[in-house]
Amino acid sequence: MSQLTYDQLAVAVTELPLVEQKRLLDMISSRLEKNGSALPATTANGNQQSPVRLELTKDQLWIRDNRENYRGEWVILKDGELIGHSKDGVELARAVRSQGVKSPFIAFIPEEDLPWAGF
Amino acid sequence: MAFELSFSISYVYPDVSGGILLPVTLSVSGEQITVDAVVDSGGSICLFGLEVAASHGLDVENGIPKRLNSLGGPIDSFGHEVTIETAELSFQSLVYFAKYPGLPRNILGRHGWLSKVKLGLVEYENTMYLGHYE
Repeated sequence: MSQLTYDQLAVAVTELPLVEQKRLLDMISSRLEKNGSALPATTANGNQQSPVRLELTKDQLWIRDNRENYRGEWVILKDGELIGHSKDGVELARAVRSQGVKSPFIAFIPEEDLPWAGF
Repeated sequence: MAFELSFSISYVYPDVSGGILLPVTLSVSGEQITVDAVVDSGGSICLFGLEVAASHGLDVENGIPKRLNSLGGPIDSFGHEVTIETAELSFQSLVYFAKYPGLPRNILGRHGWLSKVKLGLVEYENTMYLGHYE
């Protein structure tokens, strides 16, 4: 088996799904703990590296980029792709459910993005 | 002496006017639905729209009834036991679903979510820090 360089390994790791990256981190943490040198925990002051850093999901990015086209509507997404949209969220949800779509993302895009004064 | 907290997860939330949004995956009978919800320390409980319940095929009114107070008037809701996952933190919780459609946003409140996590917030950086409460 050929030897991977650190840079090649780093690229490969960042291409893994977040769940797999977490598994890898847990494995490394476990090895370090056995050797008495555990990873530092995240602190809010940002001085130490975050064990798991989550960014916006594909569905959240879709909402951000496409919200102007679907004002006043419910949208249902799957992995960053639009499955359906309607002004009637309940009917849309039932229709998508009947299609057997697994683990969808559902959101309402308001007519205007007005600031909130509490709920 | 300073107080210190440690967290296992950080999350960069979207910079939108709708509040501090966090993706939430609700599992009921093995079916998963993901929505955005607002982290709301002013909310006593976790509340989700009827549309979310419809996605699960849930009979909302079969749950525990609860009337909630809000700035827009009372909200009738029903509680159901679900698995709730936010930013890789997963636990069983009693959450509520609105009786009527059109709830303007989903709420992650104190009972059912805030009481089960440690939360740090640096709004200037749109960054939330999370960990299980232990």
